[in-house]
Amino acid sequence: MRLLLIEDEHTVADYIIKGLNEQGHLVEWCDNGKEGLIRATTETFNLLIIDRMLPQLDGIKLVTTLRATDNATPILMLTALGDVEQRVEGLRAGADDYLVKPFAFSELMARIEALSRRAQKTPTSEKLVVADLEIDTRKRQVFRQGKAVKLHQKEYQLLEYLVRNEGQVVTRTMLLEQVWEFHFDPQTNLVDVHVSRLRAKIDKDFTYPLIHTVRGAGYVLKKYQQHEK
Amino acid sequence: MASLLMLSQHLITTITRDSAKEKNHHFFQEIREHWQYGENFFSEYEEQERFLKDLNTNWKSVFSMKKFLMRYIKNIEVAEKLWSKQLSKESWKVNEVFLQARKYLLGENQKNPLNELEIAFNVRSFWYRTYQLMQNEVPENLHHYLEVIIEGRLQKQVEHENVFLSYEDISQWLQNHSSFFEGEFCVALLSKEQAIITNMDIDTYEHLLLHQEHFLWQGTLKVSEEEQEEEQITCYISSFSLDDDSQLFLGVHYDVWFEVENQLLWLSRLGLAVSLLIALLASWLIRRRSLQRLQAINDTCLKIQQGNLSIRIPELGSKDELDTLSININQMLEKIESLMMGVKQVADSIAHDLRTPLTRLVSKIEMVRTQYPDMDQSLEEIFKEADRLMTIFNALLRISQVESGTQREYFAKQSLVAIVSPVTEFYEPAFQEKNIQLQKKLPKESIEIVGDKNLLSQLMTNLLDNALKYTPENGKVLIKLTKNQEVATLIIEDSGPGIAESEIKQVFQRFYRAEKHRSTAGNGLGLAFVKAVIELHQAHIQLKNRYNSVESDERNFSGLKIILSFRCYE
Repeated sequence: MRLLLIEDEHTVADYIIKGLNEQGHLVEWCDNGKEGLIRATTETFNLLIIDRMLPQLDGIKLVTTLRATDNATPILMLTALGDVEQRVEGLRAGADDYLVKPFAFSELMARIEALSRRAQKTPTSEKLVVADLEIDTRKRQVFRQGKAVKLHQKEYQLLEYLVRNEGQVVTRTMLLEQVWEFHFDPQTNLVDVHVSRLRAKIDKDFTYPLIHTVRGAGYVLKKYQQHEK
Repeated sequence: MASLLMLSQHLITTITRDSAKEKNHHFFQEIREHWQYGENFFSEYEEQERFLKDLNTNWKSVFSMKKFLMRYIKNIEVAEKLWSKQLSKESWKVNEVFLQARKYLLGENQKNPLNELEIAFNVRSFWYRTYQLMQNEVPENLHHYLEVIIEGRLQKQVEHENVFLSYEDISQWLQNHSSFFEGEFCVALLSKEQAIITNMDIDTYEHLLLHQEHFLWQGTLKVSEEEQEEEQITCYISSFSLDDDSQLFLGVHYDVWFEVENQLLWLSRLGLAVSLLIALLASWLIRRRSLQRLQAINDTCLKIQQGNLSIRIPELGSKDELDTLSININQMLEKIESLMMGVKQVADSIAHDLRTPLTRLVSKIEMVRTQYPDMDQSLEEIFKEADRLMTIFNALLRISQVESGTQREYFAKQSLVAIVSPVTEFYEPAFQEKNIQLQKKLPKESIEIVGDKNLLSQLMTNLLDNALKYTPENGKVLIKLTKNQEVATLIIEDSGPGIAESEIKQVFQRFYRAEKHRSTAGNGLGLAFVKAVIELHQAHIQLKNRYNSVESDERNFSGLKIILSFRCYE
């Protein structure tokens, strides 16, 4: 993927670039909002990573301007710690996701993956299928190997989000934001508890598991090759 | 005052010759009467003096002052005449009596020369006014004439020692003012030669002279030549000795005199009322002004409490106590603000300087970990420690951010149930795993407050996290939300060990950890955050230890009770 990083803090930029390069992405970088806007409008990128506070052109204004030119490139916004209210501002301006600094690299990776995936996919479909798992999003019904599985509301939301991001690493923070709408760190391992409950219903009594833990990052829902036989 | 003494001596010398006519017995009778009169007069003065003293603190009533002076002058004249007629030899004694009277009259005021001066000034200006009246226009009623005559003479006495008010003066003035003989006034002017100008129908003038200073006279008035109708009237007459020993009798119809007296009384009361009103108004104005200024100070303090440190109390520059207070408070605020700014700057720079390297550290460890998944356990430990460090750091920054109060501008209407309910659901599985019985008592109707949803959710998370952590297995936790008029109350009770009474106040401090829970996981920032959020929302939090109580059945467990109260949105 070709990404544009607009970030004025050199050290932060350095480590993002280094990390993304190691993951095989190509990262272009500029350190002010004005140049960032010019490059984002004249060149083609798969994703833009934009800091909220930028010299010359503010991050929010940059996004607003970019969206006004019908540029639909997915945007991940970086905001200062805890400025949850700025997140609302950023999302309203047209950003697709936000990440609070400081962040773990795995978190950044997961967000980038999810965003690029979302851009490719058609947004809604009534029926979601992963291997032998089926979800009817209209009736909110779940079937595994043809057997109906009864889930609580939050369990269902959790599963649907995992299925929609099939094969992608989903971090705990992403789950908290998307499923529970908690835009803060509750400093507990409760997400794991909820996931293990879901697993007990979805995976436990079946031949192979679909939900996997990714160490140091989060979860992924997919069918591993070895299970196909 | 000095002029009065001069006058008395003058009168003594001028009127003594008439004494031959009088019989001794009659005189002594009269003296006794006048002594009585004098005593009354002095006690009346005492009253007047009090009255004046009262008024002295407020505005001086012109009218009551005038009345006071009028009586003073008249009465002194009465006394003067009496003494001079009968006891000329003892004129020195008279002088002494007057001196004592004067002292008595001035009383405490004597201590203040300004008061004496003030009275003297008022007397003089009053004389001057009446003198002017006499020169120019006919006053409206006889009472004024009386004043005119007396004051006119005193005026002359004071202003020009050698000018006398004589028979000629008065007769000329009477001729110029012939209207004086019409209406309800009666006049008689007697000279040494018994020449008489009068409109009174009297046969002999002897009995006029026998009368005292003031007396009632019954008779008829010669209104005009043509009109023969004669009406019996009663007049109130005052007599005056002029400087050339002639006598002037001035009278007014009793009804008119009575009316004038009433008017004067009314005027003096009005004067008192007006001065009281002015005093009340002034005190009210002063009070209102002070209250307004206190209100301003109060408002400012409230705004500061709510986090707006840059606000200041308006200074008027009036240099009074309230203004000094305002200035002092403002200076104090200036100091506090600069200190706060200093602390904030240090905190900000720490945040800025530490955050980035910390993040990089965690990320690098993370990268190494993903690249070399088979690295030994110690790397995992390092990662966990670094992650913990970052968590504490974030929590600290979050608390100071909440404390700064800036988030208040994002406040909106929130449903408490919609905040409490999801967090409780989020925690439900964890409580179940510990086999803790979780009771939820949430109302059906919505309870709305003004606040930040995110912060309130996090507050709820922290409280439930504590309940989860400290409640032993098979315990109980109760979550109850109620609304009482304008106050929403959220109660969280657990069956944990509670908090030692001595530590209850300290648990809100950053990094404070109760003695017996040092070993439990946690960073000691949870309740500090809760406190910051509560203060931001101007709500209240109360921690209570519950003990086994007999009276209630289902909540019959000991533990910690946390009571949060918010003001509802109307």
